[in-house]
Amino acid sequence: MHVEALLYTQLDPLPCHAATAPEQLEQWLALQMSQHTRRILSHGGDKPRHHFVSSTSLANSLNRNRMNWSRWSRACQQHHGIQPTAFLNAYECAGWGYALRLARHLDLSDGPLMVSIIDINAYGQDYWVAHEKWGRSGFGLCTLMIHDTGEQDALRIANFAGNQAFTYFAMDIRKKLAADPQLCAALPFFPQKTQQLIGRTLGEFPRLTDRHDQWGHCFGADPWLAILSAIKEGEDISQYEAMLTCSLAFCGYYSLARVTLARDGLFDFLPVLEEG
Amino acid sequence: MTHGYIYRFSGALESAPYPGRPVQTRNIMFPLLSAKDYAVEAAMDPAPDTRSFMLPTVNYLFLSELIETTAQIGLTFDLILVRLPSPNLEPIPSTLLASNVFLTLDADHLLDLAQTRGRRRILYIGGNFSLKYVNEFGDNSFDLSLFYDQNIGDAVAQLTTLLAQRGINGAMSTDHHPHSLS
Repeated sequence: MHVEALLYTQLDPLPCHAATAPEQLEQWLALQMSQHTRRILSHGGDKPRHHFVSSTSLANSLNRNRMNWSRWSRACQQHHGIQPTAFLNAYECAGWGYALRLARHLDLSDGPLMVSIIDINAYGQDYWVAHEKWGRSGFGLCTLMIHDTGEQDALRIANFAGNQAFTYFAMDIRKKLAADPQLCAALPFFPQKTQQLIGRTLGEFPRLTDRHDQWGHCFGADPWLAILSAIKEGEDISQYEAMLTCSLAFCGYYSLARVTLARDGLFDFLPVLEEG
Repeated sequence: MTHGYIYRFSGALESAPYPGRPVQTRNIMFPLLSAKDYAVEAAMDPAPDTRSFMLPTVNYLFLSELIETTAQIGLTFDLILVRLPSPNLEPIPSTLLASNVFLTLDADHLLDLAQTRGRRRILYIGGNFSLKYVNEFGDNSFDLSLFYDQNIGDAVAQLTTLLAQRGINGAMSTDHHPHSLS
């Protein structure tokens, strides 16, 4: 897996007008997504043929038909000419991995794939502000342009029910790091207690800085945000050949991917795009 | 030259799928945590009139049973697309997490894409149910599409029977495309 672009825009707090009406919110989100897509397209390289959009926190808005995915995806197409292929919600934070798995299953690796991870607290609900499991939440839009280079073991998707999931997740990461000394883990952002738990399993194996204090838990975007923050803040990652991006869902599904980063890739934070 | 059959079922859930059968569930409204969350929710759109016959666990039970039944009656699929918008606090069963299953909110583009990519055996399960405790406000409509490279009319009849046993009534139609599925 080769990452050619990685962009992030913090969407917290939301502008007041964004949450007034579902149609306005969809338009506003499509505008933010279009900013990412345009930047990626203007950077050169192949145009992405498929675009998957994954979210954890938008379930409530879509399930209750406040927001409408068909309308939202059409707005994306109007803004930047690419209509998203699918929206996935059920896999929570691990969604990006399931999108990559489907792309493999359908042999879509003949071109780059765009994956957007979008989480907002559309209605200011306390559930999404902070949670005992993951601490303070962080919201934003993360877009990846990724090329699947075909290594069979570059992607691992697994699920374990109950409290075992966290243990298996940590052990799986340890196993991957132990097998490949050129690999550095990019983990989900967790509160300190959880960081300590995973730290006990990983020991001295390399991992990027946990930026929970800075960003909060940003759901499926965490490992990607860890990479982007490391690049922008001068964390020395040049010694590693690849990153192991890791996301764990509340219900025990998880995704691990071994990714290399393009030397001439597009890695950047973008501000919220104002309408007009 | 590829021959293809498309079987489409369109109907609605009209009663509880497993009457009298106890199911495990967490009695919590997701994602409501605080009194403020309930107030925010209450101030939004009123709940629709659609009656809810399902908890998330019942939905998972039904979807798993449907997929497992297709295998038992000898059908194999390259891809199974399931309309499943949640997350909720109930873990998705392993049948629905299998590598040829994909859970999505809207499968239209994926159906086209899978056929363009040469997949000839595709199952689409499009339940739009009203689910208790996760505020999933579907209208209980249910669509099932089977794209297959052989005539599987007998197997499809068995599936229609299963749907009726699970409180889903509707009609199945068949299209035969002698040259192409797409």
